[in-house]
Amino acid sequence: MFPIIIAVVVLVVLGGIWINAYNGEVTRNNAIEKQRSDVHATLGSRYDKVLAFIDAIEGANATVTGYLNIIKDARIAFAEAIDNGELMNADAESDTIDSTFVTLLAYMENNPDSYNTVSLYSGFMSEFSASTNAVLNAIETFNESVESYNNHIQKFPNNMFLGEKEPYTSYSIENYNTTLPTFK
Amino acid sequence: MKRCFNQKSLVLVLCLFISVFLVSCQLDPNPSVIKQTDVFYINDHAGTLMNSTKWTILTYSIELYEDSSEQTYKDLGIDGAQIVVLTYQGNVGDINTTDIFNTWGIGKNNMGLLLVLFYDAELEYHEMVVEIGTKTSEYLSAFTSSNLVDAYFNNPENDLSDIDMRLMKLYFAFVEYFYLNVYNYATYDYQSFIDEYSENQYEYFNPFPSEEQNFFDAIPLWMWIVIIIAIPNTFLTFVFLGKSRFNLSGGGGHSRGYWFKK
Repeated sequence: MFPIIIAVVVLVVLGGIWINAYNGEVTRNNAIEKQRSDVHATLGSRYDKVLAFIDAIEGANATVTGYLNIIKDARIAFAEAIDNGELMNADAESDTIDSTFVTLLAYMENNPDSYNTVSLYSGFMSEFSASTNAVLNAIETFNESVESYNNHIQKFPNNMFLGEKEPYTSYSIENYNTTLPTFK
Repeated sequence: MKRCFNQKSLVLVLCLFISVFLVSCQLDPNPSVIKQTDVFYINDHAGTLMNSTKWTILTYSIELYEDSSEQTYKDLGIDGAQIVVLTYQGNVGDINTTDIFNTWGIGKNNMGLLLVLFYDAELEYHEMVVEIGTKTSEYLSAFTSSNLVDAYFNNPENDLSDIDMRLMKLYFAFVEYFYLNVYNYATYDYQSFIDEYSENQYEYFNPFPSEEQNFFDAIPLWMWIVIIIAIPNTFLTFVFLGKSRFNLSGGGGHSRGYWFKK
């Protein structure tokens, strides 16, 4: 009788752990999917501001024009990837846009003769800043959920049941903390 | 004898539990979020604003909330606009305005707006943050907000040392924007509100509600513990009496971090 009771207790405990691990994984995964779409929405909004900035650049040299073309192409690819549900491709394109935009700004700041005028009005600067802050906020929320998910699937005893699940990768925020030049 | 000992132990454990509970109530769970005042709409933590400025903001923020709570706007899901002003002695990075916005729940239906004025160690104004609620941002962009700050707060024709007047000019500009561009009022007599404020700027009205010393706020923590232990049945009465005062609160609004500094 005693071994049966032990076996039942062990089964109940294991069942409880499995249910907790499975439900916890589903809840965290759903939160990540929702927050990833929030990141893409705020990124899309921010890229509209990038394009507005690009439209304000006149008389750019070949180097600047090359950066602008990369950004415009990546913006189109980003929008298409979102429409097609190809989230990994969208993330790759967003990396291209952000890193190229930061490179472009650095180049323009170091080479002010490479363009004629940039109409960076105060309102535009605030709009771009606010859009960037919204992206950062969405990314921080996403990254917190990723950390929670990865901890959940990798910690004992959950890893006994969720070992085959792939951990998520956090977004990098290095491209969003760059201070924009003022072009005064 | 044993029973008496058990009763003493029970009382001691109870005292310990209550002490831990009260001390934990005193701790700030998130140091980057400031506690809102009882009057919600005006939070002069830096202690820099005039009495008339605070009363004016409180009065017209309540009015905006009530005017925007009509059934027509409820049907559109844009009722309950709230404009909140906070002053803070420190730098922009010292506090998280998005967390403050979301903790306070500024604006019903996410129709909130938070203006934060930052002051340095000498209480000189140095910069401002404008945080726009999620639904509000569909009507009021950072671009427009920034232009309002430039036109009304940073206008070179202003007396730059008169922060109260500059704040009120900006505040009424935002209020006007809500009435005309969100709630489709035909007119808004901006100048009449500025004129009224100008007349009263140096008047002292009543003590501001959040500045009035509440009897229960003056009781130190150790006194609370003594009171609870001595007369346990009065505990709940004190708690409820202590809370029964002028109280305003947020509508549960949210910001997605759409803010800028000027």
